[in-house]
Amino acid sequence: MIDVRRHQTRTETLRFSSEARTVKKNTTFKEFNGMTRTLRRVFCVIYRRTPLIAVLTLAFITFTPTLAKAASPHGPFSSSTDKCSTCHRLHTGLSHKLLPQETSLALCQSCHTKGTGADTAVMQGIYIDAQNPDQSGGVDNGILLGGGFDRIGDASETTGRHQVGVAGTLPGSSALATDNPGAVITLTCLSCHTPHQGPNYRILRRRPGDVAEDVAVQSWVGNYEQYCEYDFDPVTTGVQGYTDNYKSGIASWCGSCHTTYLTRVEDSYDAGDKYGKSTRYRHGVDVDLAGGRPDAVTKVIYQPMNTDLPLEDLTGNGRTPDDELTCLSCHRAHGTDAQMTGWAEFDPAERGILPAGKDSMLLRQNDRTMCIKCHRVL
Amino acid sequence: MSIVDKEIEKEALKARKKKIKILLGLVGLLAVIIAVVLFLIFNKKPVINIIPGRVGPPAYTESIYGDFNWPLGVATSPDGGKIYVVDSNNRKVKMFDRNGNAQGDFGGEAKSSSKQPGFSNPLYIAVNSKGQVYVSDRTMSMVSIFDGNGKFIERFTPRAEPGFSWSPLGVAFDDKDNLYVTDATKGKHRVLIFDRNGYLKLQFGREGIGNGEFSFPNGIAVDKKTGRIFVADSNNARVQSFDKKGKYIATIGQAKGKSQLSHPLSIAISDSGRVHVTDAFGHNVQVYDTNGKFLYNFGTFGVKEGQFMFPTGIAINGNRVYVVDRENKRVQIWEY
Repeated sequence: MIDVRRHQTRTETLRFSSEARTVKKNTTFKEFNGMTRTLRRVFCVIYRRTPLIAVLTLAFITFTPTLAKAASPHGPFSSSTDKCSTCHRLHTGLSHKLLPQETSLALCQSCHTKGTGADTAVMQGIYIDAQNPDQSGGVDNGILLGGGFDRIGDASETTGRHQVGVAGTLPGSSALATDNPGAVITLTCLSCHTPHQGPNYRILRRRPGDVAEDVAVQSWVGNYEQYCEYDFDPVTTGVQGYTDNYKSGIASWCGSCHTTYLTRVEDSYDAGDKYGKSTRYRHGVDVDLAGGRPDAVTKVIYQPMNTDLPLEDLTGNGRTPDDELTCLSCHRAHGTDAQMTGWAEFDPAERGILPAGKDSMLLRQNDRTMCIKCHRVL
Repeated sequence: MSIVDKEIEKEALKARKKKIKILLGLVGLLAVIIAVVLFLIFNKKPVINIIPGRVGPPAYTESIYGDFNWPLGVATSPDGGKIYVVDSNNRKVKMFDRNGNAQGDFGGEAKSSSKQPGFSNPLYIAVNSKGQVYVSDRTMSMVSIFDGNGKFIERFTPRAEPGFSWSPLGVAFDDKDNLYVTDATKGKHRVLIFDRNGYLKLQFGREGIGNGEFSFPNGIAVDKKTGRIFVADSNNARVQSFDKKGKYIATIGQAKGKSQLSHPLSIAISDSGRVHVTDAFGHNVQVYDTNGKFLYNFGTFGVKEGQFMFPTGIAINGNRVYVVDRENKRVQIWEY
């Protein structure tokens, strides 16, 4: 092995940088030429770049586990990927989507119900995190931002949910239901999510309800991060409570199915109740905390900066007056355990919209406590 | 020295040389014999019908229907007289006798205190040589210990480094009652091995897709003859085998064709060394030898007897194979 260091010591002017590429003659190196010199140069360069190489090696070792975390069946996909075969059977599929099951629900649940194949247990509405201990010596799993379909953590069963896998009634008119308020449809996981990745937050479909154009939903944390309420860093966000991870597009996305809820705050339509087609008013969405929508009929006084409801942060500058209220500010996407009592108790059948039975309508918090999270009532 | 003496000495030398040649020949022959014997010992071809009664795949016999709601893990008592089934959504472990008769249940919904019995999301189950039942619960980050009749004993307390956390999935025991656990802690997907006193004696693996790395390792089993460890690396669609020190040996189930795995969940190894793997998305049980050679599979997709819809847990006792048939809400019994 060549002692590069010794040779370098002897050769004061030996430099292989762009400024000095000439090897001084009459030095130890003069006996080497051709390949030998080239070889020595390589060794010298390696020696001179040792700190850089060490840093690069360390970085490789450090980040390899991160890079290696590519086992999600949801992609990314490449020409050499084998991930398609996780969920599809080219010649022996049991449904028209070539799935190894007649419906997608059981397939999705295989990973997303018990935590055997994902950290998100959507039926139970939790994000499993063993590294987050609670006071009793167990763990404090975070509640999914979307809630759960069956339960919300260990605490309680859901009181309202998007019906998945069974027929349910769709409030409001819908592209899914050909503008038929109260239509009965059967949602699946794939009604809202695409298992094949995509540009939208939380692998939401590009075209929910098969609308004509893509609906973009963006967040500040990427597609696969920030699943649950506690899963944020108050040091960097400075916010306690819900994470401000929503950026834009949620109302448009929800409104692809619940079309009437996205139109102007004052509009005439048939809500499927006893009043038939008449002028209807509704709470605006995409309303910024400072002034509301331009088409607002009335404006109210806010104390919005104190709210712990999730909002859309369009500019990424933290909780500011330009943050906007959206559907998920008040509702959960999957299900909720919120209790509705007294005046807040609601039976959808009374309005002729949904089947009889108490329903919390996916609202995040008990009764209507969300109202006073923004509106000053005293 | 006279000429005669020289001749005699020459003859004697010849005789010695001949003796040496004969001796060397005998030594060589002996070496060959030893080599042949050793070859036959260490390259003994497996007997196909090791389990008495049946050659090749087992035959479906009957199923246990126990009002299950998302059954997952299954195990048997050491004598095979009791069958334990994790009924996950009901948060219970249900017990049956060998004939499938219900023998009660235990567990129930978890209380707030971690020192009390109960489950949040019970998953997999294993029974040690004393008949004690260990049940994993990833949501609660715990493994609970019960006696053979379902009486709660305690939570298993991992004795490991300060700040240790785990997210247990699969559980298994070796012949020394060391506890093997697959762990899906975020970023740390790995195998943990505890001794009988709960001390963490070995851990290996990390989250990833390379050899010796895991993505949601679920089922785990130990070949009691060789000490080899088999891990269902579910989201990587493969089984990996390791030696008793956790050194990677081989990957099983990634070759195209019948031997390929889609979503392996649980593993059980028969006394004859057949590695049985439930393939949840393949809707069957794949069987390999301990070197990873594919032998056969059994079961197809469907709702009829002997058909599976998302098989999950598996256990073997003697000539019986118990397979949890998740979506059909039953435990199938197959026999060799």
